[in-house]
Amino acid sequence: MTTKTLIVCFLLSVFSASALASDWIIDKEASHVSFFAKQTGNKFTGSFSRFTIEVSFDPSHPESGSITAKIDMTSLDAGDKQRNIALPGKEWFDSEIFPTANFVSSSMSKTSDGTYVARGALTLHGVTKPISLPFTFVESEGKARVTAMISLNRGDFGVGSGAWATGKWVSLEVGVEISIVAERAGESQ
Amino acid sequence: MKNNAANTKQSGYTLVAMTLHWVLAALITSQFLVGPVMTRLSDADADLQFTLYQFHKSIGITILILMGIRLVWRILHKPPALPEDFPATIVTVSKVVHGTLYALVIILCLVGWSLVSASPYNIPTVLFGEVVWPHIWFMEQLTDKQAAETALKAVHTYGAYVLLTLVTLHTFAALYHQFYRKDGLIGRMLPFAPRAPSAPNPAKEKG
Repeated sequence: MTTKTLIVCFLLSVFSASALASDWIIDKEASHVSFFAKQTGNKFTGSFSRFTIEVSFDPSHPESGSITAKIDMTSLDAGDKQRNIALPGKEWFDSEIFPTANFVSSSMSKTSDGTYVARGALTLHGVTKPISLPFTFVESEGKARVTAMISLNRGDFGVGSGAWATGKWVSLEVGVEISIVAERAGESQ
Repeated sequence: MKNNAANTKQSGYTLVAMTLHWVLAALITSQFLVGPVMTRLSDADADLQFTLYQFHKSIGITILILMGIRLVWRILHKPPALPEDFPATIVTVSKVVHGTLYALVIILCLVGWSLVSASPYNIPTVLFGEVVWPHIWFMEQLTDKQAAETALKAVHTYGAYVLLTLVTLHTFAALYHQFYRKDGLIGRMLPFAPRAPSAPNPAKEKG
């Protein structure tokens, strides 16, 4: 029973992957861009409610894929009033001057463990750095779920200046998670 | 004349004045306790330290607002007159100390607010975790915020020592009246105290 279902799913996914276009339409309601850090030892989560992500991806030909993500830094919610006022300030994201963060991929490939990696440039707080964004891709019932996770050093992007430049109060290491739910562009029409 | 008669009949402060006095006394005492603790915590207690700073700021702004209300109330409601047999110098000292207490409390609140606004940390003030309180605009714009913060912090600290001295003096004066002079003066500021026996005698005051 389960084996049968698995085989059907597998065949379906292989069929749909090979038969349809590789462009995707993002379900913005179900997709999330969030980050995790520690403030004086306590974990906190922040998320951005407005972003545009354009994905072209074919799991059987990952090298032909591309991703462009544009995040509206002013749509931040860091879960508490203090952080929500402080983080857009000039000591942190300086969102007035740098209202968006971008990731533009330059290449994609499949890794040995079956996940994928998108290499490209991340521009955050006006600083552009090359990053490798590992992600998983799972497709079922016509929907793809992509989860990308990366650990960034906020200091590399000059986020947290002056008294905040060290990890004394707020961790330098920041985890970023991009969780995307998307449908194939061809099927949704 | 009529107004004067009403005032002389009054044997104590109004309930509003008493409430403000004691609430502020409690809040100011808490500031004296929290202030020295929060500035001396080690980095290991950073979380507690940040929490205490927010608490100190919340109480400080509450004091500032209550002092504003108190000042208006004080102007609109004449306080009960002092006993006639007070030496003139004591009356003067009492007036100066009371005036300085009012002024210093307000000044310390404003200096505290200024130093928070000038702090290079630029930490937002969120009163009791709920109400966002702004920074003082021009303090935020200073070019050398660090120097301004350091100077204001010194003023805040030494100002607090002066206030503590005056509060102690004020307290001892009240105790002196209560236990040495036994004139029941303290009853004028106690909402539930019987103030009949030694309250200022209206007849005497008139005379």
